[in-house]
Amino acid sequence: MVDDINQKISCFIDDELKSNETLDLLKECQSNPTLQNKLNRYQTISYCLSSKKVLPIREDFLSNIQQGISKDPLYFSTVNLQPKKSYRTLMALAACVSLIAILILKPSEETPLKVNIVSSSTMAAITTQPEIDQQKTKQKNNPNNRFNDYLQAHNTSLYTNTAVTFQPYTQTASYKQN
Amino acid sequence: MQASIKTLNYQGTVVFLKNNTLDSMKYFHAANEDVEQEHLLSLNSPVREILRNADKVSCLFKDLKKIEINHLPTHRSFIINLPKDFNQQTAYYDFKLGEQAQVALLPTQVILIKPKDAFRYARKIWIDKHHKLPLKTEVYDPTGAIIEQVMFTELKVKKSLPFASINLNVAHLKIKHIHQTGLQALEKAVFTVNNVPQGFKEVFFIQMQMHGSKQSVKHLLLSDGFSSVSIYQEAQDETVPLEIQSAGSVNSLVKRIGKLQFVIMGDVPVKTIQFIANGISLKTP
Repeated sequence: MVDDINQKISCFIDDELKSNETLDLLKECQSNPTLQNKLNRYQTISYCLSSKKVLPIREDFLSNIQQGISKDPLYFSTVNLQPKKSYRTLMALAACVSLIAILILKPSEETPLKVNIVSSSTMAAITTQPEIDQQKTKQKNNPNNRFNDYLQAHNTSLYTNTAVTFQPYTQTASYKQN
Repeated sequence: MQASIKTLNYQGTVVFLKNNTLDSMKYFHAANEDVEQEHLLSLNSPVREILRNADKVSCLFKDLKKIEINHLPTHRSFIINLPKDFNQQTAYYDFKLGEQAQVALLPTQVILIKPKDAFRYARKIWIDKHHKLPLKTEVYDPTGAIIEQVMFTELKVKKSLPFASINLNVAHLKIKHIHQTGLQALEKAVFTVNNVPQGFKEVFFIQMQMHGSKQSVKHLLLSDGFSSVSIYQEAQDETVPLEIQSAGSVNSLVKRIGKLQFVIMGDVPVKTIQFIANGISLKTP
């Protein structure tokens, strides 16, 4: 239905509509402001297209917009996200090469190859124990944990608020100013 | 309003916007004669269930299989804390009737609470016209920006509600008690607070243990009814930063005197924290 009316308006502007249909359309437009607006819009477009007039734009139009955007206040700190270099592929390749080398060398050796298998959990324990200790010390000395202890004694908001992060006031104040 | 908060049985969903973090929880308030209980269930991670029976707050962290039982010296509501006597508050706050609005599909009357000095925050409270319950509260910083919001998104008032309890007989459940009940006389404190904004009075002075150790900390709580300030006295620790720390409406400052350090923390503007900190001194023997 809508498409039909749009088509009629288009035909009317192109002077392709029959007189009785034109009268019907104009009557409908008269009673319907939306249609009237549409007719005006179509006429304007038609005029612009037929006249081939080009509106000149100032040369600095684009640069003005770019400047305007750069002057806009930033509410979130910009974080330079650089993709971390992944050594996984290299490590996997190295592991494959060493495995192939072992398999090739194995039949030529008379003595059986002794392999000390270290369980993954032991490995993890060896590699991460100092890290765990370090993390514990860090956690203990973390000022935020300490301030959360004070807050827990001060009021009950720590229970209803999942992430209470204390920050230097100077940071939050400048954030608010921005 | 105070009587309604304590004596009615009601339940609903509450949204807490604090410290730029949004948390929504199911809220139940059960009351029977003089006994009341607040029961909260988090709707989002970390999943936790909180119970407040008078001054004892129990918080069960379901994922961590850990329960913290905090024995507080006074009871405080999770929704709003109001002064006992509003008439006394007129010396420090201007109370005005605001617009009438709808919160959680219920008609409310807005009360504007504006401080007469720069030592406290302005607030707005939306009070349910029928049951006189606070359905929404907003706290504003000195520039007029909202720094804290608590709001019911739906509320039902019931004739009665059952009192809940947390099941402690769960396998591998870690129970941690936080005792803060060693009440002391303030006269025996080694320090004095010379700068106290008008209207702030001592709520309690206690000795407690903190930071997961047996370190003794003394805690003085001051309040004007709406806002409160804590002063912690403990042994000096170099790891605690001296600059002002903020989290939403809460500001904190550390002051070191001799071998002691004082942590001043409160839901008050920075100016109040600095004013109180400047007035802390050690008593002369």
